[in-house]
Amino acid sequence: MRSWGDVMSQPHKKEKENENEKKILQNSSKVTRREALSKMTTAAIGAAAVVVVGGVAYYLSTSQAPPSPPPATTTEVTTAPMTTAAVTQTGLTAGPPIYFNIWAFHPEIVQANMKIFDQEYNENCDILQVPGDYYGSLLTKLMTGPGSRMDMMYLHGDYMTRYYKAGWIQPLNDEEHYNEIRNDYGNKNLLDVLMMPDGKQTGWVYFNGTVPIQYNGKVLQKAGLADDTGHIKSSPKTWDDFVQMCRDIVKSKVVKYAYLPKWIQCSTCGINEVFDEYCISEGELQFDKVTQEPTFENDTVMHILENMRTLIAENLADPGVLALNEQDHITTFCAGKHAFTEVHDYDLVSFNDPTQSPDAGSYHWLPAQPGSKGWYPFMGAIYCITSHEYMKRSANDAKRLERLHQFYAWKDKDGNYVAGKQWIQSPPFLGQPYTQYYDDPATKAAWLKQTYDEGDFETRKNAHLTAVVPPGYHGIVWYSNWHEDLMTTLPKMVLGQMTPQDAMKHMVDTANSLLKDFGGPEIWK
Amino acid sequence: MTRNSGSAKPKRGLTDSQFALFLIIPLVIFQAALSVYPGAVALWMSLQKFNPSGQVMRFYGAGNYIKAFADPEVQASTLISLEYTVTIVVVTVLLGLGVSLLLNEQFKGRSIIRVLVILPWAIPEYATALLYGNVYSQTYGTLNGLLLQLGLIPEYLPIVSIGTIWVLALAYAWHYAPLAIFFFLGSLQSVPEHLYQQARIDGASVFRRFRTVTLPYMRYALLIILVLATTDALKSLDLVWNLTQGGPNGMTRVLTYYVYRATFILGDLGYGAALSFILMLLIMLVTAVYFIVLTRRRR
Repeated sequence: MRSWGDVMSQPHKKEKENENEKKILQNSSKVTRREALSKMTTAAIGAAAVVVVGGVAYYLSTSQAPPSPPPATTTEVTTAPMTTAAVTQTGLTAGPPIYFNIWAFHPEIVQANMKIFDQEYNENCDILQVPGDYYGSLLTKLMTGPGSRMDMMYLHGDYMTRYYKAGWIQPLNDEEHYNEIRNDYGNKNLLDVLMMPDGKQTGWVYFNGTVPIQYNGKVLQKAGLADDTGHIKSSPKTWDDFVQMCRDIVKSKVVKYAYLPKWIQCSTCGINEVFDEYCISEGELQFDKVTQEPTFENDTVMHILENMRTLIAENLADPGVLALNEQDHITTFCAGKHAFTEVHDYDLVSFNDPTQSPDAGSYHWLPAQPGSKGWYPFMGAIYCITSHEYMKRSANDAKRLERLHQFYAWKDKDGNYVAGKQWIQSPPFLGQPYTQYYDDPATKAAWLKQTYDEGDFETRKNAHLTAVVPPGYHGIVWYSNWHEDLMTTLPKMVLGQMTPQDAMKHMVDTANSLLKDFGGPEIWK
Repeated sequence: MTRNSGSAKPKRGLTDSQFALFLIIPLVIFQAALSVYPGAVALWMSLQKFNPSGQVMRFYGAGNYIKAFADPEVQASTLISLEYTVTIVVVTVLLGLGVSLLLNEQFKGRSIIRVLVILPWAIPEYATALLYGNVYSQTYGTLNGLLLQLGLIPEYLPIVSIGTIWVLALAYAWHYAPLAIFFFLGSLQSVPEHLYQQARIDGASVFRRFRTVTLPYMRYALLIILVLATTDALKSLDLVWNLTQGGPNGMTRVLTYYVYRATFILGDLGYGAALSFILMLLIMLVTAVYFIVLTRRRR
């Protein structure tokens, strides 16, 4: 039992104990939580400082020379200061990896070509596949500038125009082989697609495609419109003929809807693109090439709009297509429930693939595109490279990138067409801008193996080598805005929520308003 | 000597509060870099006029905001967004309540089912979109196949064209409901059993027992789910982007898709930023209403 004395003396004892504890703690290796945190923080700051200093030192030791204009000749390039890096076969020094940003379409072909390039040129290039929203990702990377691993990319024409105007795309006029490549093009119209109003060329064609009308021979046979071989007896010469043929097919009750137009939900390849197809087949180029003013307010285009409305109003075209995406559109036509559609020509492979379509082998191109001119639209894509100046690229690296660009878009260093061969002679059989590919028996043999027949081959070859580019398509910085607006206006019009006259007025007003807002040819001076 | 003596000062350096503040500096920097700075840049962008190349043309003041409020497409998109959100919230809450009440009962295999039920929430919205692309497809969709087999439809139908924003909302609710189930189940397990017994003795019906005993315990879980489901539904983009890209005929063009379109398709970064702030204000407004309604004191 404790006494009162014990109790009274306890605080003093405790104070002494505490002091002793403190001394012990101070002398011992134990640390308090506060001390531990302090030490950890100091260590973290130290480590961060080491990393920052190291990073800066690394950057300074590996950073390139200040940006300079791209070299005009190889001689200039080879006089660039040598680094410790290895010398490549053509006298250029090795450098950082070159990155090619691609959308998700047959990456294995791009990869195979990249492997050939790396081997031939002792290079170090890589592919960055952009899943999902390609242009969203691209815009972010382009705005980031140097360090964004953005050297080469695919672009559609309207995006190319905008990105070039922003200073992100490299003009090619001073490149080695520039004139040679241009002269080599089989379809000279394609050169329009690459040229900006300031006279600068900003890319090379990646694939030479079009969007023709294709038909299911089995359906037409049942409707009495195709011969025993499943080929159309009498191809429609005009769009009125085409609409009438759709009426006949629906009347025969072979299918519910005759036409599955590619009026799908896709801002770069939907109803707006098909509208271009209709216009070009009539020789209507929509915008004046010089003034960039709209030229489509006329009877021909009005009649196109009226026909589009008629196709839905008379139940000739399937309205369900307005909700489809690109892949579903192809799958739907594969099902054999429609007579006509238009798609990118490479999709004929899907239709004639027995694993995808019960009517495989029955799908063909119309022998000629309907319309007063019967022109096919160029609907391809472009290889572009980012601006050397914007990306602070050395002259040596600029030349390395130019070499990669020309390898994909033209020939290798030995003068052989390499990269395009992989595309045109194996699925998906993408067209190329050079006639030599079409004259190569291997191309024809490969296409015929994939159930294309002689007629389809000739029609397709002719279409590729004569396809027309809408002049207003390039050099109009606001073209995407106008084209995107069609994605709202045209569905409303075809569904009857807007008359063709109102749609026309809206389209003209929109074009004029955009021209006023963002400018015409004067912005290129 | 007391433990927390006010006179106790460290021999050197910082007080505890200062030290604590010092420790959160990295977090503050991180947060500033990821939220405050981009937010400030976005605000600045929203006050500029951009050209389609994504470059500033001139200072535009409130021009983008004025344009947004006058833009009939924005008004239409806002209504579609609200329709989409209300559908998602209602279906999520009802589904969450129903399934959580079921899972709160004792039955064999309950643990496994509780785990399985959470799976739809565990997959990303993007994957949900791909999945429902297969469910709703006009040519090979499982829903069409099922309805056809049951004799409910004569042929495959364009479900997205017919159902528009509703079918997208159902897909999102399927994805989101497990989170509600998770929260509601937790709340249900905290309700004292004796309250139910007393209510039964007092002759309360099932509905009354739910309203007077269960629901008060679920109020905060309900608030959390309402806020989360509303904000997430208003911000949702993946599903629309993948399944319809705003179509057909603009009928699924939610406000987020409109923002995306303005920014990335049209390159109008200023208008896109202004629309983002309007969307943010809309979310804050709806959330504030929830808090006021569900946290006010009972009188």
